[in-house]
Amino acid sequence: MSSFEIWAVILGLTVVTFITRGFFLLIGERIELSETLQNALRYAPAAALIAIIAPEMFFTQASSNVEINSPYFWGGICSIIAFWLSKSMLLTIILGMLAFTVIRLVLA
Amino acid sequence: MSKAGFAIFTWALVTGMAMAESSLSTSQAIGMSFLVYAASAQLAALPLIAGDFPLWTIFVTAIIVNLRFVVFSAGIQPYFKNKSFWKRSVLGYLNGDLNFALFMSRFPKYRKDPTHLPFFLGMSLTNWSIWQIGSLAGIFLAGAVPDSWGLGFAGTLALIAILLPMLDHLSARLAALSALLVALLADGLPYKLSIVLAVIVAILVGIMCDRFIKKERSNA
Repeated sequence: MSSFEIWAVILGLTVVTFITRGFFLLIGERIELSETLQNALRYAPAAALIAIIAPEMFFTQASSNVEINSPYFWGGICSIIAFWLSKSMLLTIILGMLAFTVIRLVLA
Repeated sequence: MSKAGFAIFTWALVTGMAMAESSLSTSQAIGMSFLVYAASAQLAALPLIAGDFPLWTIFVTAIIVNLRFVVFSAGIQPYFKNKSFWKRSVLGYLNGDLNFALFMSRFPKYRKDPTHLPFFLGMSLTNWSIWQIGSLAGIFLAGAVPDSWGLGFAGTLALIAILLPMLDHLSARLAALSALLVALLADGLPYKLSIVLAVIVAILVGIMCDRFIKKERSNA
């Protein structure tokens, strides 16, 4: 991506933050969110995050076959386990990075 | 608040590092931190920028990741509906995950109360300041660390830490599992359509599970 395009992304994302965060504050009371729609919206962000995280963990840059023999996969798995045990964001990241680094050095 | 402040700082530090390790220049990383001010959307955008995906793909993804804020904005709307448009714009822009949770636990039911605005602003501006300091620290620290350390991966791990608390009931977990399968199977599709497809399937699975569980309960 060119430097110009990246700045366009940054400005576009600024608009996205502004509109999504303020949505109902900005439009006032004209529209109400039905319960069905609210329920539907609950599942969307998690699914989008998974669709971003999964390729980073399961695929290597070289191929789009699922590859679990990688520091990315095991680093991710360790961070998930760390979150379950500790509920701490800091430990999730530190232990995940630790596992990632150890496996990266072993496989190197 | 100190525990929350520490969490914001860590989260910002990691986001800063991930931005600096990606294809962004230092000034772009700083610009993104100050303007976009939305960690999960920023982190989700980084692999898409690196993969040279079309801009609209990145915007659609950011909107979906940010949909939770649309729901939050409906939550705080009654408290601030009498404020001027520009005040509501600023309040909306500052309405993040942590602010919303702390505000709603302090004021669970709407009652006339002059402390809504100072409470919300004080908390949000503190959050904003800690965030920017952490993010800048991350951007500059990352420059001192060799690329081979793969610090950018910490951004993916930070996304895992924001994802997992969302999976707090059975329907959400099954929806997430189906999203994972779709994301892996549909990865070859152009424009990262795998994201939109995973979202649609997850919503359908989530709603069907909710209905099924409700039916089982009313039968029992």
